[in-house]
Amino acid sequence: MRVRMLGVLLAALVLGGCAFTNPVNTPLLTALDGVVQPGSTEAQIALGSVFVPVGVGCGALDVAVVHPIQSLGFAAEDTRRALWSEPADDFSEEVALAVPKALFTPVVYAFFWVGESLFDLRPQERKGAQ
Amino acid sequence: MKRILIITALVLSCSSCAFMNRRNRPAMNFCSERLIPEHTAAKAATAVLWAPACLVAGAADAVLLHPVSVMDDAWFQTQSLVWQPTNRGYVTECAVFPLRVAATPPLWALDFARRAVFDVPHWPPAPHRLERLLLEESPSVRLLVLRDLTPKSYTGDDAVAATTAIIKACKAHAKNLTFCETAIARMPAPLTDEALAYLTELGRTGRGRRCAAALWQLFMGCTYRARDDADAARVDKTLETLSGVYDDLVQNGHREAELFIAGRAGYYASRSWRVRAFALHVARSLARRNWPDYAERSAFTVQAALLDSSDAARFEAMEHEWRALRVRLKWPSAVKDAVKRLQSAQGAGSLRAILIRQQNALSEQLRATGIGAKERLQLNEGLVDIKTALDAEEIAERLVANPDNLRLFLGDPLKLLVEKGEP
Repeated sequence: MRVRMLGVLLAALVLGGCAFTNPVNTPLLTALDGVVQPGSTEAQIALGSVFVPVGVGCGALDVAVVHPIQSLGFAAEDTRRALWSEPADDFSEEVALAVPKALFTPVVYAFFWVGESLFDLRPQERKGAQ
Repeated sequence: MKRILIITALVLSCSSCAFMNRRNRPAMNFCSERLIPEHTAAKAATAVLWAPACLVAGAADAVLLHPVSVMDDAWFQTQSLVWQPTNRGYVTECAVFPLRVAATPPLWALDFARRAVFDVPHWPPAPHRLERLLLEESPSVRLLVLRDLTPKSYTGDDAVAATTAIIKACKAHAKNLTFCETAIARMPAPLTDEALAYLTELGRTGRGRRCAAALWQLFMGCTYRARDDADAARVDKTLETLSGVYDDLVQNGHREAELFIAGRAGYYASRSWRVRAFALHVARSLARRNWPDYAERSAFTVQAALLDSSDAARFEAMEHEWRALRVRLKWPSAVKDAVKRLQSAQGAGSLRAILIRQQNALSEQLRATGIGAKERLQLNEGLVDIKTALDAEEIAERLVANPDNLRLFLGDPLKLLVEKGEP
């Protein structure tokens, strides 16, 4: 069951435009790419023993920590747009809706946060945000 | 119901079964051509001999020969799926390396099994099939076929034949500019003699999208990383051809095309030594022509790039007083600003007199005794700024006096080249 879930998740990531194909969403790797630029093929092979583990570590940190943190603000913005951006015409209606909206906010926020963390939903806005 | 489903599945899988295609049964084809007699009587009489042989051949095809023949296709597919560079940087490549290694065996095995069991067309198509696809298929399919190719899809004799097919298709569909551009960009690398001749012919026209695509492909051909001496010789020949085309463009006054290719040389000079060699060829040509005004911007880009990357260029720079040695890198934008000011109705006109006065004043201060080293350095830096502005002012005045030169100086060379229309 777990394997099947993982397969579905991986397929969804691949098909749906994975967040990590965009360099903006992997800041650690992108920063290292800018700094480490071995010129010759020999140097690239020689440095491989160091930078394969470093790259994997940084990639894992980008995926598990940095990008999810980056996505917190975007998820908040998505949630605000979805639930709180259009006030009802009537004040009483607004008051009545405030409670369910408040109740749904954490759920919607979590949904958007997972989405923003896994998929490259707004590449242009993210570029602008950097 | 279940039985119907099973029969349907069987029919479906058998209809595209690899064994149904004659091409996938080489041993059996051999047997049927060489062992089975033509006459029915002889056929029946010798059936005891040829029937077991054909059976063995069929089994060999199914179990050994066909699977072995699709191994490289499966590898090609896996490579194009998993091993395409990310074009991001060294560390990202390192980070995805273990993932690629892990994904390769299962993906290869899956694709291999698919190709071994079913009749999957080979990719890239054999050159004769490519020719048929490019000549006979509908425009959208032709484009799809091309877009799935890369300059590395064909090697050796196949590359020569595929180039011939692509050129034939380009000539047949010359009016479809998007097709021609795509086809030219997919020509196998390193470029063959036929490709060089065709691209030279197109490049020399000095106008239109196909010319731009041909010049770009010739240029990219010079950046190809040679795998062996034969490849290196081909890339050298591409460089020689590009230099020849550039000289022809200069001689025939195709300035847009000349600027387009010179600009690329400046932009990509750090990419390979051959591009630097071509950039030096451009710089020498410009120096021989006494740095024409219309080419000043491309010339400056080429000079700045070469000074950054080539020792040979530094010697030439001293000899021919390269502009990039004398002024700051912001010179091109300074010229644009000066042109804008000179063209505006309310502009203050030329600032030359003011700048000369400032330059003289600074020189005077530098000649004075008793200034500290730091102040002297600051004065010298200021002097370079003023010289840059003065130089830009002089060029801008000359450009404004000649609208054609100004158009070439300010415009995007690729856009100007395309706007000239097709030959």
